Amino acid sequence: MMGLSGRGQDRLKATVAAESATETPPLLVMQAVQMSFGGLMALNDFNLILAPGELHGLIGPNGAGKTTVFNLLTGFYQPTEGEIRFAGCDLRGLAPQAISRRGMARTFQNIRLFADMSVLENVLVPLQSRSGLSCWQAVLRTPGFWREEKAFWDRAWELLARLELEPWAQMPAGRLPYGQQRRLEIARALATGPRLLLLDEPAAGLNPQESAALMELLQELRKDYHLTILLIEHNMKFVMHICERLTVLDHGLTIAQGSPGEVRADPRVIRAYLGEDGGA
Amino acid sequence: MAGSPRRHRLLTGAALALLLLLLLAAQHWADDYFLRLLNTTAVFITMAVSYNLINGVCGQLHLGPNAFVTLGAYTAALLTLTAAEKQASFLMAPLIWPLREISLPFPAALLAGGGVAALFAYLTGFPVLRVRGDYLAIVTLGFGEVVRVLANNLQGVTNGPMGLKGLAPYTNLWWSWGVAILTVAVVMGLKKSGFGRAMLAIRADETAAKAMGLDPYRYLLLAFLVSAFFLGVAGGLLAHLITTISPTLFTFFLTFNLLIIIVLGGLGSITGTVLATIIITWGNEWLRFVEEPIFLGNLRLPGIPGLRMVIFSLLLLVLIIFYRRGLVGSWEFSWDWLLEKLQRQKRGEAS
Repeated sequence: MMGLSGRGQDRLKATVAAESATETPPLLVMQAVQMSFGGLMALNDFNLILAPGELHGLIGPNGAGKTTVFNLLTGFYQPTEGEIRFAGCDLRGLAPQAISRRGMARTFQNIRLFADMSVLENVLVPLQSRSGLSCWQAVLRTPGFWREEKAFWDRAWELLARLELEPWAQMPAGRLPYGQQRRLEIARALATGPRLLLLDEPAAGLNPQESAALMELLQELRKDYHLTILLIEHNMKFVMHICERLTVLDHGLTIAQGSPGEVRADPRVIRAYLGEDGGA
Repeated sequence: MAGSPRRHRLLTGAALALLLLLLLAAQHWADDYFLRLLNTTAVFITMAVSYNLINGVCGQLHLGPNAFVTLGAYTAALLTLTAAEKQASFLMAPLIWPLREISLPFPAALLAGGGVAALFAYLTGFPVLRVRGDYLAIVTLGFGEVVRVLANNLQGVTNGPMGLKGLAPYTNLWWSWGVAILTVAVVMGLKKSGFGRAMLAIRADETAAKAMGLDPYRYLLLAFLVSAFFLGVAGGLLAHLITTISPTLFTFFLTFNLLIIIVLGGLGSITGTVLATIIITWGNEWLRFVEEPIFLGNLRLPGIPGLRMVIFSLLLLVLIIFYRRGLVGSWEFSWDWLLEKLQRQKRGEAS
């Protein structure tokens, strides 16, 4: 969580203006967002526009402020300044659970599954946030309760099947192999019924085969569930291959934004990754 | 939810009928001492199971169940006493007006006891459920003490340290076990539903639960209210079982006893809580001999009053060091489990 304020600030207003001129209304707009913790500027003048269906990558060295962006979007942090609009609605002041219900889901960098609960239950939990039952109906086991329970189970099994987790359904989530835990986090996030999916280092710790399979899976999920995806990733091959556009952060500042080709050629990106600041 | 619900309902009905028969037999043939023990067991099952909803299922270290028991006990007791009895008891300060006149039948008084406890839980829920961990433990511990001190000093309502005497012994096996079964059914029903899954998720990782769209306040408040209601009803039952209540009955010791029970049983397991309640209440009686003088030949060892508490404290220490997950961990009894086990045994005999 570093970030020095006195650095030369790069504004990308031109890009933002050009992109807001596109026809379909954007799903997400972050405008001039700033986040400081006391004197520490974690994120400065951050702008991001996501069109529906876009797959956008957020990269940068450690401590660049990437996860801060996720925490701002999902309501765990409130921006010090700036505006965040999701599907036309202002997110400022909303609690994480309220934002989740509006259609934004995330995974966590350090996996945060409900470790003692079964794989199936992990996927059932987010469905509860859309439950229309009162606690009386649940305690009295009314027909409405069984109907909803059945619908939840069907949905959960469908997601487990989609992410190839069925064989482990009854196992405690904490005992799953690492790769499956990562996939379960995605299944759990999808259970909230998101329009925007935020993935925090989904390929971390995966071997090249697993990571290639994940790339394919994400493309399919995006198509099948009409998702817009914003992902943080250190694996450059992964990012360059899968993302349509990239945003590069360094010390809380946006140093480049554009297609993978443009970003790769940007001298400031090369300096941030290979230069005196050290690499990722 | 696996298996056939109809068969489960049948088995549950059969088990309840069996319990009913046992209670009928006890009612007919057992002596007063044994009946008292059975009643106490049921009241403690009610208290421990509802306490475990917050401490075990939701994973919040709550240290003030004695507050809700006190509220329920006093409310129910004040409502069942007749106007004449109240006038005779309140010597230092007369009982305040509306309570002076009202006299209700026992079931209504029990409900009122639970209601008052739940209302108190609702009012304190807002500050209490804003904090977590050690802070929640300290705040709830404080509330428990506040209620006890109020019971000691609000002479016009509680008759102060003299307490309330001469309550009718309304609590019998049917009331105590009926309420215990209802509590187990409600808490189990909640736990095995989406509400329970949400509570378990909040216990496992509150941040992740929030990111999945769950509002922790909503689920914790629900658990808090349900738990307080049944603790209040249990308080009413306890008052009409002992027939005399005073503030000393509801100190932190009560909370401590409940805490031992739920830790022994396994945090979050209702099955474990019921087993542990039976072990602790019956063990408590069985261990009486350690407080009486013991004769070894000519040698007379004097009994040490309070030695049972020492034994229970040691038990808690051993538990925390060696069996942190309690007797059954988070395991829960289910008919599927029993049927499967029986089937396996049969197959084992056949081969």
